[in-house]
Formats: sequence, structure tokens, C-alpha cells
Amino acid sequence: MFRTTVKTLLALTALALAGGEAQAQWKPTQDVKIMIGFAPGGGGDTLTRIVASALEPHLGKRVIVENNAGANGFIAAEAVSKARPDGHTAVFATMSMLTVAPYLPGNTLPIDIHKALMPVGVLADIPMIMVTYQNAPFNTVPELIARAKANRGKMSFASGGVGSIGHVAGEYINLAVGTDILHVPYRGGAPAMVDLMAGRVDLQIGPMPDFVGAIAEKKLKPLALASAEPVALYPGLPFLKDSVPGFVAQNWFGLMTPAGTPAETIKGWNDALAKVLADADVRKRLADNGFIPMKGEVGEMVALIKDGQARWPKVIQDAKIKVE
Amino acid sequence: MAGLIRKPKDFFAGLLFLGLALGTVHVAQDYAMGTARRMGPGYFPTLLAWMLAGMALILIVRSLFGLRDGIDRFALKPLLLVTAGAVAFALLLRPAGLVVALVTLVLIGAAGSSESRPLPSLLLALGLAAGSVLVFVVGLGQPFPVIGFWFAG
Amino acid sequence: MDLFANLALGLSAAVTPENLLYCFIGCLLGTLVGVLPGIGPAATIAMLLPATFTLGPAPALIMMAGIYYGAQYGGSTTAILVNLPGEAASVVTTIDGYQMARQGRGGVALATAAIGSFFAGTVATLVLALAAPLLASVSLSFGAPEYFALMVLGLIGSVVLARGSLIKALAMILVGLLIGLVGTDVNSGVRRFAFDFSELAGGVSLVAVAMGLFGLGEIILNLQNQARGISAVFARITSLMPSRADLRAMTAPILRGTALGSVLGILPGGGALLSAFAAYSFEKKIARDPSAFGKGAIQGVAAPEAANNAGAQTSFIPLLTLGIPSNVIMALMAGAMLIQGIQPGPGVMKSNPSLFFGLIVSMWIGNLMLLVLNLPLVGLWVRLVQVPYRFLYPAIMVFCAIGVFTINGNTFDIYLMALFGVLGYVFAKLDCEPAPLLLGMILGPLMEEYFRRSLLLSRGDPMIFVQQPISAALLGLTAVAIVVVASPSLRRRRDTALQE
Repeated sequence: MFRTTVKTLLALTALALAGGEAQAQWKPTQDVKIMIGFAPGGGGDTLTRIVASALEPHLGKRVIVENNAGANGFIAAEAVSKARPDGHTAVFATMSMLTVAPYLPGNTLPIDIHKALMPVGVLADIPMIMVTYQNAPFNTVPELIARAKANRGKMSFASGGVGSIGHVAGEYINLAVGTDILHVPYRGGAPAMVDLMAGRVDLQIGPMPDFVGAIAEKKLKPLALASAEPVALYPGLPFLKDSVPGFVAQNWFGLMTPAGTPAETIKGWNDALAKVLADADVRKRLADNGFIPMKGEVGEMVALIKDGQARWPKVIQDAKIKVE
Repeated sequence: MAGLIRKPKDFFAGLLFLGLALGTVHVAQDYAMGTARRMGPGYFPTLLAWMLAGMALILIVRSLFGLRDGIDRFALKPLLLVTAGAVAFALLLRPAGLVVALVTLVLIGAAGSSESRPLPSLLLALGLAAGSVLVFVVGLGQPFPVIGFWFAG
Repeated sequence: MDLFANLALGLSAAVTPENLLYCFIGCLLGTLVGVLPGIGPAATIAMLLPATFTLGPAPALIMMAGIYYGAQYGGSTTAILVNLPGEAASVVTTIDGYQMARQGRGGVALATAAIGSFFAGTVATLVLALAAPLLASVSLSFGAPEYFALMVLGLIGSVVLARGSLIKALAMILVGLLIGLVGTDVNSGVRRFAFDFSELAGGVSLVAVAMGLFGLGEIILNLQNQARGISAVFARITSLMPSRADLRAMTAPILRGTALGSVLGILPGGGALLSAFAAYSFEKKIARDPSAFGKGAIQGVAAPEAANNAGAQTSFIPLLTLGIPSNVIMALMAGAMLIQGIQPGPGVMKSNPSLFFGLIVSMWIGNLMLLVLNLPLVGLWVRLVQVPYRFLYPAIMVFCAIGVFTINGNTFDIYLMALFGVLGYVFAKLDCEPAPLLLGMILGPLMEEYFRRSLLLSRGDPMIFVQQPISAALLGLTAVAIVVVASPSLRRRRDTALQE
């Protein structure tokens, strides 16, 4: 009888432990949907799809990626903010959506992204570099700054649009070193490159993968790294922060869920994302597309958001960037 | 008054264009104009709107002269039903799912023809719905809600 | 000669069983996708992008290229048969192609489109092989002022698209320009005319407008006519294949269209789209009997189709030589190349010649496959359309509705389509043509963007347009075009005035 009691006790303990673990480890009970507010085929879309398909074995359910393009990602953000906060719906969020767009005066957004959604984790980072045309009369950032100061009102930089990271980064530089390089907005990075290669504009700051081909063919030359980490492809490339005090521009991409999602659910996502982003095959595919994998962990995302919020709104204000 | 308008097609086209042009000018007032050298967002639309208003006025004036023509009656039944079919599809797609939305679209739309009969239309609706699910959802993997959230768990 | 060596290399790369298979799959998928409105080649390529991880670079690129120009062929099919442009460039084909179909000459129109496209594809492929690097430098010399001048020229030239009243056509272009301006302004970031609809921040969906104006509007019109016993929608088929006279009539337009398309396709940023409109307008202007255009003139199908396909092939040039994508699809191809570890750009030609020339040769093979695929199918397609209209048009409605939804995944676009369906009917009753509106929609935001950017770069100096040689030349051509366009209509107005 005593043995039976011990056995029962052991069995009950085991059950209790197992049951307890199951409660702490959130898993979805139905298919999961990740919405992305950008058109299929873009960098963000590729990233999301790579992560989504790798998530399926860890979450145990299908992970469907749904495009709902428009308003620079905000249409999807708005749609997801109305979903149930049970961890089955997430939305792709960019650094720009969280730390630039809400602080652009005159910019009308459908939701207050910081109130309607909550961060889950950052998936990846894309290194940003500053490039210029091959025959530009300067080869380093200090030379560029000197030339800009000597030729006030004559130089210009291209960006992928008003309020884009290339735009605010450029204005930050203007403010920090006292230049007046004119901002010329384009519809996305690609059209800007044509004018840059032809020398009609002098500079561009943008995601590294966009420029790699042109650099290899000696149509563009890289000047400096906007990010904080060196990149394998251009080992000697100096950092922008060496010449422009305090300058760091990270272009990162993450996931968010509707506000009110319980902490264990977020933790469940974090655990799954951590495994996915540590997987060698996923890392290789991300690297092939120019992404640097991050940790997929909520604390990291919160820190990055705070960093961006401390930095970009001030630039917007000081440079008087506004949506007229 | 009606006798004065010899070309109602031109007249009403002109009215339509004029309305659109004036509406545009009104809305564009909220946008910064800037100068011709540094155009603001409101400049180009306003410029175009005034050009359109000019065309509209020419049309309206022109409609008072020359050979008469007429607009034949609007066929309200097909107009309303085809439009309603599309709108119904949009309304029902997420709540009721692709199948229900398509069937509704076809049934309403088919009613717009004087030659359709209920049973063949229903068969057509079911066939098209099934075919579409096969091609678009199964075949191409498009993210359609096949069964909408009214019916889902 | 170097060319033959390269082509031989390309041939050996392209004619492997694997590459031929993927070429075929691409062309088939492309045709299917082109026929289905809404789902464009871009979305399809995007969907297949992950699958290309496992394929090698050659089969992946060959397949995607096949999808791209296959969609051109498919898009013409629906444009001709049911007035639905499969993609924006097919709008021009609807003008005469659909009329030919209604007259029972749909088969001829389809065959014309296929033949014209094949010829254009062949020539453009040669151009690609021979002159890619040369042409790349041309595309680089087009900056904002040059593009603006080109757009203006295109707009004035396409006033000629109008069948009827010139004033109404101008008005429709203006309406299109205004609709095109809805959305976020590139130069200031302001969201214009969006009335709190976030969905409009990216502009009014071109597909929604096209499906509404050309698809639903036409359906309502046909139903109206049917109810009044006016005419059957489609006349009986008279012939499936072009007659010798037809072949003679289409030869010169195809040549001219090919030339125009090859040149304009090189320009990233709106070149290829313009080529179909430009080809049509040019044909109409130099035709012996311009009044036949708009009523089923075979030249009105041959030239734009050739221009279309030539433009599609040469739009690869900026990508393969400069690493710059001309449009979304090229951006996807660039993405696919990156996944495979290949840097798109001129280096590809030197570092990976078998890939480069293999791709080029397989484009030609793809065009051949498409010709072989499409010509026999002409009979099938045409018979499909002979289905009683009460079954056909709900099917068209289904394709329109689904197609529009798949663009952005929101139902707002469907409401837009419904609105434009009503407008399409109203316009038809008022004798206003939809094609100029669509052209205006495409060109409007581009024109403004290029104009403002030109002034931004020149720091407010308007002389930039005449200081740059290419821009000045194009503007000069525009002035000539205005005179050319205005003169016959002045004569016409005098004639009608005399009649009264």
C-alpha cells in the first residue's frame, strides 16, 4: 500500500510538473497569421516568409503570411490591432513605423502604434551604408563634409521617401556637422540609385543589399557604415559615427501583437523565434539576403524602440522635417 | 431649358467634369501651394483642376449648339445588380468566406441579365465558386478566407 | 564573332532538359496569370520566390522570366476577348482588339498579338545580346527632366488615342491625371485626396479602376444592349487565322512597334508602359485611314502588342547591366539573384557568362514556346467566349472581383472597382472614352514627380528643361506633336461646321 501511495504521489508530481510546464509554455491552438503591410517580393516580405516557414515546427501549427499592403505598413498594423490578443495574429513592424512615422508632424496614421500594438521581438537588422557615385571628388566622410561646407547650397542627397530612414539619417548628419545638403526624395531606393550613379545627386544612405551590385561594378563607392557593427563584405569601411558624433542608424524589422496579449504568450513567441533565429539554415538564408539575424526577444525590441524614440523625433524636430 | 440643350451628352459630361474639377480645387485648398518654382502638394492638382474646368465649360457651351443628339435611357437593372453583386462580394468576403461571397456575387450579378434563369444561375454560381477555390486557394495559395469568421470556430 | 560565341554558349546553357522544363513552366504559368486579371506576374513571382531557393540560378531566373513575358501574352488574350486588360500595358490592345473580337475576328486579333509579340521578342532578345552595355549608358543619361519631357510627349501624342471628341479625350486625360494624384506625394509626404481612407495612401489601385471601367462597365453596357435586343455581344466567328491581306497589314506596324518598344523599354521608370500607347498613337497618326482605328483595325493590335513585348524584354537591360530594377518584377528577379548569391549588375556578364547568355537565349526559346502554346489555343479561347453571355459575364465578374482583391488583400479595392464600374457605364453613355483616363492615371503622378524633382535639383531654375540636350529635344518634339495633333481636328471641326 505504501508503495502504491509513493507511486501515486510520484505520478501526481510528474503530472503536476508536466502540467505546470505546459501552462508556462504557450503554444497556439489554431493556425497563426502574420500580416505584413508591404507588397510581396520586398525585403521585408522575404524575411517574414523565411521566418514564418521556419516557425511552423516550433509552434506546431501553420504560420500563414498575409500581405495587406499600404500606408507604409500601417494598414496591416491597423488590421492586426483589431484582432484578438491571443497570440494567433502578429504584424510585421519596421523601425520606421515605430520611431519615425508617429513623430512626423502632419503625418496622419490610422492607429497609435505604441498603444494599439505591443512588441514581440526583432527578427533582423539590415546594415545601412552611405554611398556616392564612382567619380565623386571625395573618398571619405571628412572629405565629404569639407566639400559640403565649401560648396554650400550645391550638394544633395537622395532618399527613398519623406520620413524614410535615409531621409532622417541625412538630416541628422546635416544637423550634427553643420552642412546644408539638400534632401531629394524618390519613390523608393531604386530610382534614387539611377540619379546617384549619374552624379545628379551626391549621396545616398540606404540598405546595403541595394548597392552591392553597383559597388562591385564600380558604379558606386561606399563611404561609410551607418550601423554599429562592421560588415564582412566591406571589411575596412569606416563608421559614420567616427566623423559624425553619435550617429548610428539601424534599420530593423520585428513583429508585434495586439495590445493586451498576455506575457506568457509573448514568451512563447520569443522562445520559438529564438530557436528559429539560431537555426543555421535560417541564418544562412537571411545572410544571403543581406539580413543580420537578431534575437527575437521582446527586451531587445523594447530597447531598440527606446533608442529610436530618443534619437529620431529630435532630428525631425531640429531639422524641421514635416509632411507639409 | 431642356430644349436649349442640344447635346445632352456633352452637357452632362461637362457637368460631371466641372463638379470633379471644383471639388478638387476645394479639397486642394488645404494643401500647401508653394510657388511655380517650388511647388507644394496643392499646386499641380489645382492647376489640372482648373484646366479640367476649362474643358468642362467648353463642353457645356458647345452642347447648346449644333446637331441634336440624345442620351438613351439608363438601364437601371443591370447597373444596380452588377454593382450590388460586386459590393456584396466585398461585404461578405471576410465574414462569410470566399464560397458564400462568390455565390452571392454570381446570383445577384446574373439577375442583371434578362436571359438568366434561377437554376442555371445557381449551378453556375456553385461551379464558379468551386473552380475559384481550386484555382486560387489550392492551386495558387492565395490567402482567401474560404469559410469566413461567421462560420469559423 | 564574339556574338556568335556568346549565343552558342547561351544556347548550350539554355537547352538543357531542366532549363527547358522550367522555361515551359514559367511560360505556362505566366500565360495563366496574365489571363486572370488581378494576379499579376509580380505576385506570382513573389509567391514562387521561396521555391527558387532549391533551384539553381539558371532555372530559377529562366522560369521567372518566362512568367513575366508569358503574362504579356496572357494579358492580351483577355484584353482582346473580353475587354479586360490583363495588365496596364494591355489597355491599348482593348481599343481595337475587343472591337475585332466583337466583329467575329477575335481569332485573327489573338493570332496577330501572338505573332507580333513573338517577332518583337526575338528582335528584342537580339538587342539585349548585342547592345546591353551600350544601352545601359543610355538609360543612365535619363534624369528627371528627360523623363518629364518624355511623359509630356507621350501624353500629347496619346491624345490621338481618342476616337471621338478631342475635348472629351483631353478631359478624360485630366481626370485620369487627377485620380493618379490621389495618395502620398513623393516630394512632400503629404497624403492627398485620401479622405481618411488609409487604403488610399498608396494611391488609387490601377487594377481596380481598370477592372471597373473596362470590365464591369462593359458588362453593364452589354446587358443593356442585350435587354433591348440591340446586338449580340459577339458576332459569329468569321476566321481564326489572319488572311494574307491581314499579314501584309500587320507587318509594318509590328516593325515599328518593336523598334519603339525596344527603345522605350530600356528606360527604368515608366518606359515600357508608354511604349504600347506610343506605338498605337504613332500608327494611328500615320495610317491612311485613321478613322478605322477604334473600330477593329488590325494595326491597332499589332503595333502595341509588339511594342509591349519588346519593352518587356529590354526592361531586363537596366537590371542585368546596372543592377537597377526597372519595375517590381525586375526587383524580384534581383532578389532571386541575391538569394542565389549572384550580384545583379554588369559583373554578371563577365563572371557568369553562361548564366547571362543562357538567360537571354532562353528568353527567345520562351517566346517560341509561347507562340506554339498560344496559336493553337486561339480556337479554344474564341470558342470559350461564344458561351452564352448570361454565363460568361458572371464568370468575368468573379475573375474581376477575385483579381482585384489579390492585389492588396483589402476589400476597399473591390468597392473602388464597383464605383468605377458605375462610372464606366456613365462614361459610355456620355461618349467619354476610358483609355485616355487610364493613361492619365499612370502618367499623372510620374509627371508631377519628375517636374518637381527637376526643379529641386536645379534649385528652382526652370531652364534645366532646355539646358539638358535630351530633354530639350523631347520638348521640341512635343511642340511639333501638338501642331500635328491639333491640325486635323481643326480641319474636322471646319468640315462639321460646314455641314451644318
